[in-house]
Amino acid sequence: MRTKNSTSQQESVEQRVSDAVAEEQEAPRAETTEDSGAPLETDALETAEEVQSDTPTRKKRIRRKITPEEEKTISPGHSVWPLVLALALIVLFLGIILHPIVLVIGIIMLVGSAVGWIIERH
Amino acid sequence: MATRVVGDSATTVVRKRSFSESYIGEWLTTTDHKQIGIMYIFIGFFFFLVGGMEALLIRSQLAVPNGKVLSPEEYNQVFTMHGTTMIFLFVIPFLAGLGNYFVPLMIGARDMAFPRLNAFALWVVLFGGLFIQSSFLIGQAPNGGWFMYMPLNLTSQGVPNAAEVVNGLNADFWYLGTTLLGVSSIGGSLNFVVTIFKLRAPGMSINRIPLFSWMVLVQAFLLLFSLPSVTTASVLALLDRHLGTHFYQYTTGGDPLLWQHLFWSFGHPEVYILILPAFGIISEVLPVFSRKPIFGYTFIAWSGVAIGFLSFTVWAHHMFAVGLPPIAQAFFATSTTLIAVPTAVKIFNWLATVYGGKLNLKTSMLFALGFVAMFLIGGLNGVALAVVPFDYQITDTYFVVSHIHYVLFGGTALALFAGIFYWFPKMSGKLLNERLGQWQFWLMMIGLNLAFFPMHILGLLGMPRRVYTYPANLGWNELNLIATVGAFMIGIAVVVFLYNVVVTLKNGQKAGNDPWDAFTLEWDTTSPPRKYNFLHIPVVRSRRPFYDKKNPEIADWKTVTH
Repeated sequence: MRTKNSTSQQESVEQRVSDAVAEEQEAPRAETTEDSGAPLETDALETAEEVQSDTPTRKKRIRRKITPEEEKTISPGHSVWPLVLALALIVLFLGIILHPIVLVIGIIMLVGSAVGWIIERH
Repeated sequence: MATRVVGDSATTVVRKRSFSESYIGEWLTTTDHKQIGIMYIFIGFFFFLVGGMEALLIRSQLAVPNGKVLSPEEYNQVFTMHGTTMIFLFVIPFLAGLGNYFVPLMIGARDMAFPRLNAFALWVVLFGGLFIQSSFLIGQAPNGGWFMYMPLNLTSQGVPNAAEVVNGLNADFWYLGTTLLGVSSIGGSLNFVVTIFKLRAPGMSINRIPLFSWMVLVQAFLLLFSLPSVTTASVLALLDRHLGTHFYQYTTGGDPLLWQHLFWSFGHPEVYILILPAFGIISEVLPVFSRKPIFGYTFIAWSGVAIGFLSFTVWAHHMFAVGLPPIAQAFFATSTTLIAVPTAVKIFNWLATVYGGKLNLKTSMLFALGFVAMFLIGGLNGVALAVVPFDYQITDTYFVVSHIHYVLFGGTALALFAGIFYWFPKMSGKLLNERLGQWQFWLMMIGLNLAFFPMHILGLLGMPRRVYTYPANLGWNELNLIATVGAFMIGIAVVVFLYNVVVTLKNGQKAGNDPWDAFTLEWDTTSPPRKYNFLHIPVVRSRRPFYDKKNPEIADWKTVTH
């Protein structure tokens, strides 16, 4: 779930990207572009620069690749707690079938992983 | 493993890679809906193979009279696990996988609303599936039929003089396993509901979302409202089995029919849970390969909602032969006939979509058209089952087996293959081989009709379900043999598919971002999509936003208002 902080962080990342000076020429339409097809009106990644040439002045779309740090801000993070909590649940259910000791271990694992999940921060 | 990082000064800083940065660690700790979707699909397909092997064992046993492939106890375990595996461990996870991968992309979101809950639901499916299957290792797989009727599945505790009860842990694996899988489904459903309601792109109102997303939304509500019923039933069964309560035991004041009511209150919505997303897949594939927008979007969407509501009113049509009062039978017969109406609405809308279109008969389209034909057969014999006197004759016979396999294999499985061939290029960046796909399609179509059509006749001739063999003088021999041949043809078709996937991943033709010239937002990304899906969330103005982007002069929003 998005928090206010992560939303404002993402907005500042997007602002930095759109304000950045172009580092490369317009990329060909293929895997290297971030979006396929013609850009939408709201696509602020590209900056438009007027380019002097023999033909009348035209705006040239220039794109910059997103950096790994910027990508991390808008990509989902990693977490081990879903896996651990699922394991805890299965141990608990096995304990119902096998032995009360296994059930107790499962309950402890369940509580521990739930706490780990709740206090986890990205 | 260490990573060298060049610092600001001349010194080199060595940083240890965290677990989640290793290849396996990345997949084990991911919360990315696409990776989770792929893992769901792999898990679902693995259990499809397990359930398929069980089906081939069943058909081998029944190929000839007095078969000796399996003992009676082994047969009971195999057919129970075939149904349980296919329903709970193949179809639901596979649909969850496609939903997880594509619903956020289709609605213009970066991920699901609750990424960690998403990952949790995935791992519970995997461990729950392994939990149930591990019962085979101790020779005590569930053996009371996939719907585990009472009092067959009670232990001897509190059951005096009951010779036929089942001892051992068999049923416990089923009750606990399905409860565990229910936990996963509830988590996944909550996620889908919140994602679809709260994370849609700007301009994407609820009546502009793709029909696959609509059907996933209805399916999620069905899961949320139906699972408590079977969970309660399972808990009561465990109490009866281990703590001596008497919910289901008639001789001590309980009622075996209580189990049936509780189970089928889940079980009937469950079959719509299995089919509705398949309807959604077909509603995505048919328009693209007919080069036309879907006909009657509103009718298809809202008929899905109607099916969702009506599915809670028909459960006792599975119980016409148990002695319900006539007024109850009349009610459920009426509601069952009524639920065929919104389903028929969809079929007519699909036919109208295809009619007059410029058809591109790629493998995905062939599977979609095959779905319409096969599901029609399954729907028609289902409506026949709604007629109570007819149901008296053929309930618990192979006629019902034919019905469920036409709707679940001819329906859902064909739709899943349509979805795989349609969306595989987006997930992998490569196109599945068309020639192999066509071979698979025709083998599958012929195989499923050979396997399941004769079962109509077997049922009418009186062959009961769940019998491990039959004598040679009842006239069932040839039809069973034909059904077995059909089943093995389906197996060969699956092998062809696996070969296709391996060859494609190794050396397949590159797909590009939009190989089908499609209409919806998931195609407006790279193949496969970036981790963050869309760098900028798109603004949507119609039901076909990607079509509008590619064809601004004739965009949908210029000609129609939705």
